[in-house]
Amino acid sequence: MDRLADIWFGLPAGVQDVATTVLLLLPALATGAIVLRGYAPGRLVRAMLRRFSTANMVFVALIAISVAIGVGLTAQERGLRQGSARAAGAFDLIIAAPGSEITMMLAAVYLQPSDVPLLTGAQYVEVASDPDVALAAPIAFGDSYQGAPVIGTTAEFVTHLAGDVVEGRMFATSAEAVAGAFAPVATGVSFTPAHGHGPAAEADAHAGSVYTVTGRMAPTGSPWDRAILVPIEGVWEVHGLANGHALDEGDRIGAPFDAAYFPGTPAILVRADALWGNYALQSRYSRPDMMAFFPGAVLAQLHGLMRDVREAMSMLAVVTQVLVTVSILAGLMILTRIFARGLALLRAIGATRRFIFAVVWSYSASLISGGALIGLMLGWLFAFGFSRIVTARTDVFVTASVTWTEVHLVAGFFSLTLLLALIPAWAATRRPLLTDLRN
Amino acid sequence: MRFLAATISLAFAATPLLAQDDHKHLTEIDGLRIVHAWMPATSGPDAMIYMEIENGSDGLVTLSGAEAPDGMTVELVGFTYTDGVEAWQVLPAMPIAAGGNLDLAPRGVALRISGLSASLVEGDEIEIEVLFGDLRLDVHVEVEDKNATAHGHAGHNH
Repeated sequence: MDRLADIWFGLPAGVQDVATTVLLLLPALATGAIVLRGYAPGRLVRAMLRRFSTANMVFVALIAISVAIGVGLTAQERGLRQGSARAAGAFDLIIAAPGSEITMMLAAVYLQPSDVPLLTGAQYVEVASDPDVALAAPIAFGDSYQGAPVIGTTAEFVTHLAGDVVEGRMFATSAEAVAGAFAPVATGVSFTPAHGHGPAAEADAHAGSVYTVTGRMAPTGSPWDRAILVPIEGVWEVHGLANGHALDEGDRIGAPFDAAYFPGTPAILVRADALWGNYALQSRYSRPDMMAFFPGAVLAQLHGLMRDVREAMSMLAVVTQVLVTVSILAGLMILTRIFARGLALLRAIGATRRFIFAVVWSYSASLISGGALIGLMLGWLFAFGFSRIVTARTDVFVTASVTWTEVHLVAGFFSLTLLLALIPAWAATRRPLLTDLRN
Repeated sequence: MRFLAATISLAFAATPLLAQDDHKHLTEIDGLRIVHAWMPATSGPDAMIYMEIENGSDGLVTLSGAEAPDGMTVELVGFTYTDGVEAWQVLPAMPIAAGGNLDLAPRGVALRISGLSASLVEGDEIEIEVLFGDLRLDVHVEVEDKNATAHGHAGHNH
């Protein structure tokens, strides 16, 4: 048994997927081979499908919709999970004042408005001057413009997040800004930020302060695509605070910052060059006066909590499909009563019970196969459409595609229902011949 | 009076047990301490081991891995979450500065032990040797519930 397991786990993932599909289809294929052995009921089945085409299409549509719901739900859930993880990919390590990691992750990574305590200048300088730290970018949020968050940070962070700007140039003074890929401002436009977000934002709170957009970032697939990034010095100045540098430093922006003139930042994005560096820094700065966490780990924890829901959802999808199919098979049993006279005639002219069994089973199998295949395609369309809606609403780029998981789901459903289809086939052979002939 | 004497006697009698219990949670050599080593209950051949390492020595130490008996292997790994998939990447040796600490914790850094021949259930114990270059610390690892997120005594001072 252990040897079998070793062989299985030694196989490439693609081979395992194909093998799983074949194993799941095997009961259906074996049933088909046994039921149809020696018979070719294709022409008769095609005639039955044509004869009651409307009823057959309704059955196929019902199966297809139930399969599509299952396929769409699982594909969508995976797309959302992968999209949210990708959006957090650039955020190696976040250091913030002690509090809720989830709140801070939502604020710093997904730009959800939150009131959070600030880290002091001394704390920032301690982190930034750590020899293991390659990048320590302050992230200051709280302002907005036309619904887009205005985030204070450094040019290094912009490059870290999205690479070089794809249009215009990077901000060079505290009154300049770089727009996210889909932010509602064009290069060259000047704007005054509102204080706060949403309906409660105070449009006139920063009257007289103006940023001019000098460039645009490449898309990142995250809510940062709709943000406007400005030098953190600009955010502090707009709020009437010191700008992080001593007066004799003039209008310089960016690191290093002077702790004495550093008004505070809600979060610092930290990245180390060494492979072990981020882990060491997380341990080093998890202490009573600050917290350090991996957004990916917090997200994994959240997704882990949802795993049970996900499994329950998958189970419900399968149960729904089977219930729909059982209902359809019950319908087919009724439908076979309509075929009963024809089937009785077949028997009267010498057809065996096993041939009748093969005809009715093949007829059911045709409806189930068609429904399952159409359902797989509909499920992909459903997931694709829903992904577009989620992306538009959350700014997290979600792509849902049909993978082997969905193929396995449909293959399992296909086999199970083809086994269930033996019941109406058996029922058709047990009907009283003479009564059916008289009817 | 008799009750007081009995209470004192019981307290003294319990002291070695408490000391032993403390001893199980703590390993220390030259100011380098490892406390609360634990792992969740296992059902397969691999498992993660977590612990708190405190470098109270005067110099930098480097966590290079660990060794386990009976042909089992141990490696230092770090958690990653890429495209919604949890994974662990093998890490090189990690330096810990004098006065510094390193917490091996779920979804962070861990020692991955491979080659377990039997399932470990809550209450079981295994022994490993944690390596800091030439320095070796014998560590007693307690098996907690499979859903545990920390050692049962996490937060206690030893």
